[in-house]
Order: sequence, then structure tokens, then C-alpha cells
Amino acid sequence: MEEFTVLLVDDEAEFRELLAKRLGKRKLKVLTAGDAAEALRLLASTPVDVVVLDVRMPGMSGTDALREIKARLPSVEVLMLTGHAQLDVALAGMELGAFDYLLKPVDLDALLYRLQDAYRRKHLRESGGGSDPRK
Amino acid sequence: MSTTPRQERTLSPSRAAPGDGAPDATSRRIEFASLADFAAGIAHEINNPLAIIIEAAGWVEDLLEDEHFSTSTCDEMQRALRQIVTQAGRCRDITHNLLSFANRVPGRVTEVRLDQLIREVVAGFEKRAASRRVSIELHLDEDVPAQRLSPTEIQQVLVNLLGNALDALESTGGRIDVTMRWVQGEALIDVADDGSGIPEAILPRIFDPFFTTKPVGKGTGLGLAICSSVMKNLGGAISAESRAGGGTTFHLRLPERPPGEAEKPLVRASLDEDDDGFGPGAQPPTVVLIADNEEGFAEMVSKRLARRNVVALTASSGEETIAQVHANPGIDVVVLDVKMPDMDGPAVLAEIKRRAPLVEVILLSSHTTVESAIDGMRLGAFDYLVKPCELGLLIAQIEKARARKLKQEAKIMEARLREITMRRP
Repeated sequence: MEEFTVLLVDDEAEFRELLAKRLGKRKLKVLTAGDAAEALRLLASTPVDVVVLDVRMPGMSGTDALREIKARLPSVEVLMLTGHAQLDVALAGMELGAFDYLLKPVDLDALLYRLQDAYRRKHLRESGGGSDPRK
Repeated sequence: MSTTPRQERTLSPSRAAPGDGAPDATSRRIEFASLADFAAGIAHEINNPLAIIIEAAGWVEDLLEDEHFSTSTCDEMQRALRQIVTQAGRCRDITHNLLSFANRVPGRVTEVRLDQLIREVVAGFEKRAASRRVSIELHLDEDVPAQRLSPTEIQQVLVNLLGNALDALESTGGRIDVTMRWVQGEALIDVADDGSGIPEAILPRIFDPFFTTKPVGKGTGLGLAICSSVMKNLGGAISAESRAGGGTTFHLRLPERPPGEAEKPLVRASLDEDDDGFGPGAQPPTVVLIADNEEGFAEMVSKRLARRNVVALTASSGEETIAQVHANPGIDVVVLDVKMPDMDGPAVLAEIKRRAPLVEVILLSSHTTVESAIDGMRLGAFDYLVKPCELGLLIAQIEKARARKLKQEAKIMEARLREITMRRP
């Protein structure tokens, strides 16, 4: 598998760090941020392929963060994580251009597959393919 | 805990003004909406720690796949395991909170100075208050006499009220006044905020369980219901006064509960497992019988006790417990689950006390069986603990129970010695 860079955005520090270690062990480059503002700062300075975004955070909400990310860096793919089944938030996120949403607690393999799919879509689009691996 | 940016005390239309429109259908729908919100809130609160537990356990699995371990790998695993314990504790706190609502657990009663207790609780809120530009002013009459009550219960009430007041002032900042006076044998405590107030229409419902004006995940709708139930339990009362735009005041009324005289001191033991006083000392090991029909639990506890100079035996039924006590005169302490499949806890306890009056019994109860635990205390149990309990606390209580047994034995021996010496010419 190709190496790509993931940014984890979650206000639960322990969750963030553990998930970062586990994804790191699976040969992904992982950055972390504790809130949306920190995530946006990081994105401005570092190239990232896929963002994993908790939709419930203090400060800027996940949905607002998603809108902001998509406005500034349309090519970055975003996977939303939600603590419980908030279908309205998930739907709003999908309309804003999120790649997909997953429910927390998330199965690591499921997350990995979605990350790879997201990266592949980004890669294809950048190389002019533009097909959607979800189809 | 995650929070959302919208935290004004807004009311979702589905829960507003009960009783208008078709009464039955509407009220049922209201109830269901609250219950659904409540369930979603609880699910969210539990899912967050659960997600950490799953990742921590997964990380240990990842590490175990490595060919060789370095010291840092062991450190990593230890950290992950510690994290699992911490986060499981978070889940436990949530379920305890729920159960304490469903079935109130009496906390440990001690002598409490209410002014000190209020100061401690308020100190815990200082950081949160400062970050929301809220000042908390105390006006405490220090002549209020010490009371005998469970500090955890009254703490729970104050934490809820202060938390609500801070939420009410979240977007505006403001001021909270905590006042305590002593009037005719009653402590009167007021918690007042100068926020936007609670609309008159919903004021009568705020103590109802599941009623909340907060977004999902933020409030369970249980806080004020718990407060109300706690105050009733203490023989007191809680009420609220609010004017639109004029702030909200919660009044607590707590009738006098004067300190008793010779009650058993209820000192909470240190929860630090390393500080449990069990060194590899010269003392002969304590012999404990763990009587619990959940064999996994009994085994786990006995294994961990074995590393602390405690010999632990196990029994999984009431009958087996009694037989073990009969067969092993060396048993110092029995840790007895009050819910055994064949006999109830108090009956097992009575039988143990009949056959071996010096053996001390510590009862383990769940929230639903606290009443049998209290019966057990009357029948001579040394103490009772609510499951799941910290192992450190259990060990400390075992040690205390054993100390009491040794003291009793010494007394009996002294009495016998006196008898013998008196018979001598």
C-alpha cells in the first residue's frame, strides 16, 4: 500500500494518540489535532491527504470545520467520525463533500479501508481520473 | 467530553408545553422524544470512553505481534492497560449515576462541615467559571453546625446546580452566588445565577427525569431529578425560583442531622493499591474466602490478593461458603456477595456468625441489593461495599476486618487467662 498522510482531529486526547499510534504502525503518516482551529493551522502548513474529523468538538463544530477545510483545500478528503448515530449531521457532512462517515467506536480495519478508498479517490482525481471508488 | 457550540438553554419544540393539543397522544410523544434523546445522550457518553478502551486494547494486541519486546514496549502496554482501567471507570461512573437515580445508593455517612464542603465543590469549578467569565461568590454562615450525612450525596447536588448555573451563563458570563444560612434547625443553601432565567412554562417540569433543555450528549435530563431525589432522601427539599431575564435561584433545605456519638468511624481507605499496608511483612498471611457466584470475579480477586500476602479461597454458592467456613478454621474474613444463587446473603451471614462468630464478613452488594447489605450490617457484618469496588478499598477493608478479628481473639484469650489464673490457689 502506498504511504499517505492522515490528520486525526478529535478532542479526546487519549483516543487521538492511541489511534495515531495504531495507524502509524500500519505505515500511515499520521498528524493529530485537538480541535478544528489547530487542524486548520496544520493543514495550512502541511500537505495532508485525508482528514478524520470528529463531528462533536468544543469550539468550531465538525460540520463547520468540514466546510472550512473544503473551502480552503477542496482536494483533501474528509472522513467524519460521530459518537452516536446523528444521521442529520452525517447527511449535512456528506452534502458538504465529506467522503464518508463512520460511527464511533469504529473498527480499525473498517477505518483503514475507508482511509484507503478516500486516498485512492483523491489520488485518482489529482491524476485526472476522477472516478469515485465508492461506486 | 465533547460539547457543541449551541448551549443556550433552548427548548426543542417537541418537548415544550405539555398538555396542549390532544392530551394523550401528545404526552406520549413527548415522553418518547425525551427517552430517545436520553438514550442517545447516554450512548454518546459511553461510546467515547469505549472507543478509547477499544483502541488501547487494540494497541496492546499490535504490540504483542512484535517479535521482541523492549522496555519501552512494556511501558507502552502498561500505559494502555492503565488507560483501559481509567476509561472503564468513566463508563462505570455513568452507569453508577444512572443506577443511583434508578435506585438510590446511600453513601457513607460522616460528620460534614457544610461550609467546607461547599468551598471544596466550588474550588473544583473555579477554572471552568473563569474560562466562561463567571465569578462565584460565597456567603456562608460559618456557625452552621456539623451534620452527619453522606458528603457524596450533597456534593452531587451542588455539582449539578453549579454545573447548570455555569451552562446558563456560558454565552454571557455573569455571577453565581452561593449562600448558606442556619435557620431554626435547618441549613438553607441557595445557588443563584444572574442568567436569562427559566421560562415559566417549563419551570414545573425541570425536576422531571429525562427533562432537559440541553443538546443531546450535553445533559442526560437526570441531574435535577437526582438532586430532588437526594434532597428528599435527606429529609429536605429543593425548589427553584426564576424570572425571565432575572436569573434563577435554587433553594436547598436540609434539616438538622446532628453528629451521633459512638458510631463506627467510617474512614475511607486509600484507593492507592500500593499503599494498602500489605508488605511482605512478618505477619502470617490473612486468609480470605471470596464467596461470589460469578466465578470469574472471585478468581480474579483471589489472584490479585495472592500477590499481597493474602491467601484467598473461593466459594460459588451459599452452601459452599458455609461448608468452607466450617472446614477451614483459619479463615479470617469472608467477602460475601449478598446475591447467591441458593441462599440470600443475610441468611449465609447469619449461619457463618452462628458457627464461627469471630469470622468477619464484608458484604459486596450491587445497587439493587443495598437493602440486603443493610440487613447484613444489622446481623453483624463488618462493612459493605458496592460493586464494582476498587480492589485497594476492598483490601483495606479486609485488613481492617482482620485487625478487628485479631483484637477479639486477643480479648477472649485474655479472659481465658484471667479465668485460669483466678482458679489457681
